[in-house]
Amino acid sequence: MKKKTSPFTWGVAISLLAGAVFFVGLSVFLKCEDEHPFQSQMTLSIEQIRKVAGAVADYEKSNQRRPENLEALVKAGLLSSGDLFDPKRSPSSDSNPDLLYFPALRRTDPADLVLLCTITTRKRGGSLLAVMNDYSTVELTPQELRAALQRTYSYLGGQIGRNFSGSNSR
Amino acid sequence: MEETNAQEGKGQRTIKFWAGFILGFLIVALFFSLSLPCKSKQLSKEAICGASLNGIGKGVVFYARENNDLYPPDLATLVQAGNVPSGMLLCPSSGTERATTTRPADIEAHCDYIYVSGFDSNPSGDLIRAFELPANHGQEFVNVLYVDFHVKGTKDMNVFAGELQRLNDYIAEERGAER
Repeated sequence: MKKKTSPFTWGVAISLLAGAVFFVGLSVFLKCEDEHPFQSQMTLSIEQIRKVAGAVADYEKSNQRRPENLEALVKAGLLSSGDLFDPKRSPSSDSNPDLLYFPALRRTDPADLVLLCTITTRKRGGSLLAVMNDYSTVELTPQELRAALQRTYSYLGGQIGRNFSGSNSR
Repeated sequence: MEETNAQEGKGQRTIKFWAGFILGFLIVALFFSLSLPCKSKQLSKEAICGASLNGIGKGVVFYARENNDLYPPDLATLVQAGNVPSGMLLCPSSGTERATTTRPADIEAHCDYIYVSGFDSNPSGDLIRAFELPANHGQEFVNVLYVDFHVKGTKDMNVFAGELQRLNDYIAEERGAER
């Protein structure tokens, strides 16, 4: 005689099936969300950053000092405002340039400090761009850029430093 | 009588069915919670990273208290002074390994944050004191420690870039006009 399946077994079986369908669906959905290709619209190409570095150098030659900010290069006619932004981006009036500038650095400061750099890469795992204080352009890994930025901030901190226990050389 | 027994039997079968259903659902939920892709893990890593920066901020305060209001020149000094453990200099998302010694070069090479030295406070207190690069969180998120020691995370890289540039402008102003 065939044994009748108990309601408990039916409950477990149905819920396993329904739960599996639900969680597999959720899992696929979340995985899809996660795998959207990352596309930064806040980074410059190496040609662009070289152009900006060239403009800073030209400004320095003409004025015996570096510009206070990158907008000064646009005002001086050395760059167009679009040169400071990712070409894929449509900057609004309150958009910040897509590269970081260190106006505190002087030509006589160490060559291995960062003068200009990007802070995001086009794609995940890509390299970051930096122009060093001697105007050389380099591609760096995030960890290398972090070290270079730390060097730069530590040096400048030493220059402006007051009320901190390092060697102050103001 | 038979009708009552039949009704009781039906009620028991329903209870057994739902007990089985709930048990099965819990088993599946447990199994998938262990294997789901990591949106929630990512969020928790962002929070742990923020907590690390917060810890660094507290370490700076303790260091200043112990050193006549002098701030540390770098993060290695904080570790060497015992104000923060070297593991606190790591963002859990970056995969950087912990420093094995307390030598400054070793600590510096095993650190995910950038510390800005040279000022104790500024009039508004909203300048950046320490930060990380967005690459730590797949370029979609970044944590920042401010001069007044509050920590904030943002997904808006334009705002982050603006705050960093403002910090650089402030340093330039402090250093003086000669360039």
